[in-house]
Amino acid sequence: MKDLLSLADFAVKRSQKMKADESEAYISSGKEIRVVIEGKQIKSVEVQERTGLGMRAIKNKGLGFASTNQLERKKIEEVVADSLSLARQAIPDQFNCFPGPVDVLKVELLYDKEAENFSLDRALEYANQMLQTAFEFDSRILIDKGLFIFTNHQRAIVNSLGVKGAEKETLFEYLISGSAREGEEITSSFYGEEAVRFTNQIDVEKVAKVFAQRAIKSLGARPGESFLGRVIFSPQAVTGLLLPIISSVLAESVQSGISPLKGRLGEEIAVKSLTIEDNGLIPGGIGSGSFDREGVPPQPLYIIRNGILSSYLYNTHTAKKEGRKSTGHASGGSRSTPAINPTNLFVQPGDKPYEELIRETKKGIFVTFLMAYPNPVSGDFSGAVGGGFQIENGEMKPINGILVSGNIYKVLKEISGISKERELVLSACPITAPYLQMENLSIVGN
Amino acid sequence: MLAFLHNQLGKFGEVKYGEIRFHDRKKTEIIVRNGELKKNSVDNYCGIGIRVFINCWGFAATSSLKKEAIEKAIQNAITAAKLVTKSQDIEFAVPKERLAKGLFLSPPDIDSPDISLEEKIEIIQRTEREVRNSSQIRAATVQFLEYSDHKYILTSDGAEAEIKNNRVDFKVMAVAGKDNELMNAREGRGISGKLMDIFKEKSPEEIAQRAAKRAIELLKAPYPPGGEAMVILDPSLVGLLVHEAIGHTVEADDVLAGAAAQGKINQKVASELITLVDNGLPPYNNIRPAGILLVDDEGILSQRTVIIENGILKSYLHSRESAFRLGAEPTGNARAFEYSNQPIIRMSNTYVEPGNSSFEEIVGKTKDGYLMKKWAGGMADLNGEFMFSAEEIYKINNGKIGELLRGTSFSGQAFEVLKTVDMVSKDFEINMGDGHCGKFLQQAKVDGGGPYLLCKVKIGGK
Repeated sequence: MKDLLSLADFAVKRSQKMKADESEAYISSGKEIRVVIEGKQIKSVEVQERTGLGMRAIKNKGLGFASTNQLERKKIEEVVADSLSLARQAIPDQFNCFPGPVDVLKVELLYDKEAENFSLDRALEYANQMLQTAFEFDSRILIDKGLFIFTNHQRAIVNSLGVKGAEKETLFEYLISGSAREGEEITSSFYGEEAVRFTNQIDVEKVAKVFAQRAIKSLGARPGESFLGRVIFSPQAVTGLLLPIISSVLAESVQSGISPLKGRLGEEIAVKSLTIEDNGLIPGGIGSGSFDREGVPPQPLYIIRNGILSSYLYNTHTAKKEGRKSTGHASGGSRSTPAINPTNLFVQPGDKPYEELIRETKKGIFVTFLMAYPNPVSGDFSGAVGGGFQIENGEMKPINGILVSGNIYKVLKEISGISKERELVLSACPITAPYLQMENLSIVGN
Repeated sequence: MLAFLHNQLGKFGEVKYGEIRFHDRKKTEIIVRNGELKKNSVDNYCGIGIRVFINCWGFAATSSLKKEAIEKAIQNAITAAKLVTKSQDIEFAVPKERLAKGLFLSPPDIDSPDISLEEKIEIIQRTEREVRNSSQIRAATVQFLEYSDHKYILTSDGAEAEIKNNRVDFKVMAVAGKDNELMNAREGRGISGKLMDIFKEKSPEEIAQRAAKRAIELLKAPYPPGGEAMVILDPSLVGLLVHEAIGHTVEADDVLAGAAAQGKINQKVASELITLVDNGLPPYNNIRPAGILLVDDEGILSQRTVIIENGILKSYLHSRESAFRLGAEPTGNARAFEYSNQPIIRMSNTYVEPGNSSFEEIVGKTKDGYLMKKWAGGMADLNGEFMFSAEEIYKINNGKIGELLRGTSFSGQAFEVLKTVDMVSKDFEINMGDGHCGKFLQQAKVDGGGPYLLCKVKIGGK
């Protein structure tokens, strides 16, 4: 890590010497092992080292960015010069600035020292175990793809205002996907996935079983019927509905006028039982880190609290525009300028087991996966259902060929039940979500 | 460089197949939003990917171009490829004439001078201002993305190619608003070429005005009702349909995993009016789609692959490995996005060949249906089920195009939908090249399109 910090320091000093008003260097370096499963077998084993430097420079309020994945001095010098020349050509923006130094508290449990020696053999063993478990679960299981990835990664940030930080992290991610086949029937695709930071947390069997169970359960599906009413969404499906809403609380969307949530802080936008938090300081969190892409610690906050829109997420540039401090949500790596993103999202659980929600439903639909592209601007969504079930008097029967449609902003007020259980879903960002029951949704079927 | 890499290839020892790929990429991005320069960046990403097959595939990548780093990567790849102990019976022999040798340029005039970065920023800025020229527009974004690639691909069976590619995307987004309600519209173009090539068809101002006008119109438009309907899909939606819902199911790795097209070669899978191809070469004169790929990342020459001929499934899309496993020839579809990615089976330019009807005839024959235009995202499953969004929809009554309706999604099973195709237009476009296709954590620049098709789908309206 000392190496990374001294390289970043070198880049910043060089940029300052070339007369940049402000300079920032972000460096990352890591080793990755990856085992790929395809069909019935191990397809490949991969090992690589990755490095990268992303350099930002401000000159006369113009901002430039250049990056390279080659950390030789000569390349660093080129990138420093490029970023400055891009800054000189840029349109000036009075809000371009970098953050000053702040106290950073180290987030625990992000790095597994024992994983330093994690070998190719062990990665292969885990991948094989995941594959075997899925196969042995049921002969009707079809495996499409699987992955086991180990990353040992470190990052460092230095800017000319005194920010200086470095951090190490380890991560194991694994997933398996496919479907089930019986006679002519092939179900839609299902997957199981997990990410953990420590070797002793790895549980590939669990993930394989979740995938296989989901696929087998949806065999024997019949065409669903059109209706208007209750839908219960799994945590995976909930994620698809909530993430576009989250994209509308990013200060960039709010300030640029594309967010329907602009100017609505303090307004009741959802039912009282809905609370969504963002916390990037959770020990061991998949989205956790002691500091963000700009060196600012992520501030834990409520996005929606008891139905009330409570906060937007900021990086330094968007915060400066409103004369406030960044909330520490600058995101991204060495290859691009900082964007804004949530860290770890948590939807507060309810008090009923999800099975009770189903049992108490006379007529409704259960949705495992939602293939939807909600439009975050208008809020309209309409999506095909994967792993759909018809609920009748508390009994679930698999169905297919149905679409659910509505508006993501409007359905926030149609939530009529939240489960006690929550699952960590690894979508665009990690989100711990319960099952959500909603009313008055329109289903198009046969 | 070529001689140096050739020399490295000699260090592979006993492998069934081996390849070295050098890939130097410069990615330039400019984003202007509401008058502010949001992005002004250049990313340099360069390195060498080494892949060998012994008992399984072993892959290693290095960003360092030093001899020691490359030798270490070769050793790592070999170690990885021996980890699986059971050896597989596999052959990578391909006909010599399919191996790429020499220099490949796309577009052919790639070395002609380009405008400066400052001029590019100026055009993006001007276009963005044009979008905001109406009081009903609340926000505008214009985005420019350019990939300038320089590659060398060498394989143990003798492919030795140097490749230079240039691809650009130009996207405009307009957001119109009234009270609390917002509506967006997009215009985009992605091609093989340079920024100014995009404006040969339409000026930046024209593109800006189209996006702004549509966002404003859509704000007032009512929702279509849901249910089954006869629809005319425009070329961009045909491109999306055949790429997402057919194309992925004929990628041979997915075929082997049980995709819907498995076991259907020589069977009727679509109306006889449908001929579907994937073509890495420039398909027609003066069309330079974003998916042009003269050589794939296994050193195989690109080709025009007929997937469906007059309704009959004729071929899958192959890599070297899948071709062996399914007893076919490689089709030149193994692609890696960057040096640090392994080649996997991807499409290039996927389109339905034009038919005999005119667009007007098709509209005229539609009694009660919809004209669906402009793709706005979507996804599909390996069983052929899809869900796509169209941005603009028009009601068709008794052969006449009627009122504009709000965009919505539509769904179906792709092969079933293609069986319902009644008419295929002469009018033809390949125009879905802006953006990326994602597969298995890896991106690719692809393109697609076709004629207007009259078919039956399920609309998910209100």
